[in-house]
Amino acid sequence: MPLFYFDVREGPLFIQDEDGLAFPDLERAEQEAIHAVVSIGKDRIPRSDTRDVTVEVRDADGKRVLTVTVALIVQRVDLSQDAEG
Amino acid sequence: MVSNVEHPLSPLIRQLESIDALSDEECRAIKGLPVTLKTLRPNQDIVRDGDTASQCCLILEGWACRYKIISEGKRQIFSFHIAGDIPDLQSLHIPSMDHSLATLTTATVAFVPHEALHDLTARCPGIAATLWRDTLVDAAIFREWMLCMGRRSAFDHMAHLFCELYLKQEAVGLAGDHRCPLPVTQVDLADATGLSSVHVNRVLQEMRGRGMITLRGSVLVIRAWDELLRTAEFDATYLHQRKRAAR
Repeated sequence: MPLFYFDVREGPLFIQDEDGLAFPDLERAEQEAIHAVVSIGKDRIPRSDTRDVTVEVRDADGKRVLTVTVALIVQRVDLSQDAEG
Repeated sequence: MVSNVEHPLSPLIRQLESIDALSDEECRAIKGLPVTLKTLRPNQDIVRDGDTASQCCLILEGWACRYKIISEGKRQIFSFHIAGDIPDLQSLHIPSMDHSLATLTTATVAFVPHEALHDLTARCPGIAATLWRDTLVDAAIFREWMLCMGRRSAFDHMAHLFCELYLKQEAVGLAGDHRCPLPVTQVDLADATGLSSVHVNRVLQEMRGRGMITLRGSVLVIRAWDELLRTAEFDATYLHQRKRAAR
């Protein structure tokens, strides 16, 4: 099974995967990347200033084959404008 | 004359003595248990979900885990087990298995017939109490895992797990100097913590980067023990280890 490397980007923080994980194909690697980015996002976003997490997947040759990002958007509603209506 | 050859059931006695006192007579009674020794390959099921057990499995060497797999194929590991543990001790009184037990590494195990264990506990109430205590400590460990899984950050969860695995091994003489075997894969750690493998890797890289641990060739070296304890809010009370309590 081919190796894929899953680097993690959390705002300014970049964590390079040096070990890699084996998956039968890119499809399965993508599933892992999705689980990973959601899992890391859920863990890190509420506990830090990080608002987006990206997992960048490289193949065994080091070529990037996929990126997956989750981002948090918080929007406060301006209540003073509401009062006019 | 005392033989230098260790009795095959010595790991069990060391494990039980780490949580309770045993008399010489009780040790002799345990050593008299009839056992069938077996060497198993890594990732081999020992007893499966749905089976009716007629014997208990004592780990003599290597690692095992209790787990369950849901229909999407995802596995949850409930516990890691080391030499001296009887992971399916509960089958003595509840023979219907509601989860599976498998090896993680090559392992030597001893199978003890339920009949012999029932006979032993009837003859020696002290041993029955010690085994009961063992299952209570087991339950205490589950509570900590639940707390980690539900409430702690991934980093603190993993730190907590490393503290626990080190202290469990230290108590039975398998670890020392903040260095212990950790013969599990990133996938095993992911299945035990409910994280993805990539997330486990990210946490391990951060721990390494902060100089707290090194993990090479199945050996965990904890380089900043106090810091690891602090970040995990680790309180060893739940392990109910005798020597630790006496300190």
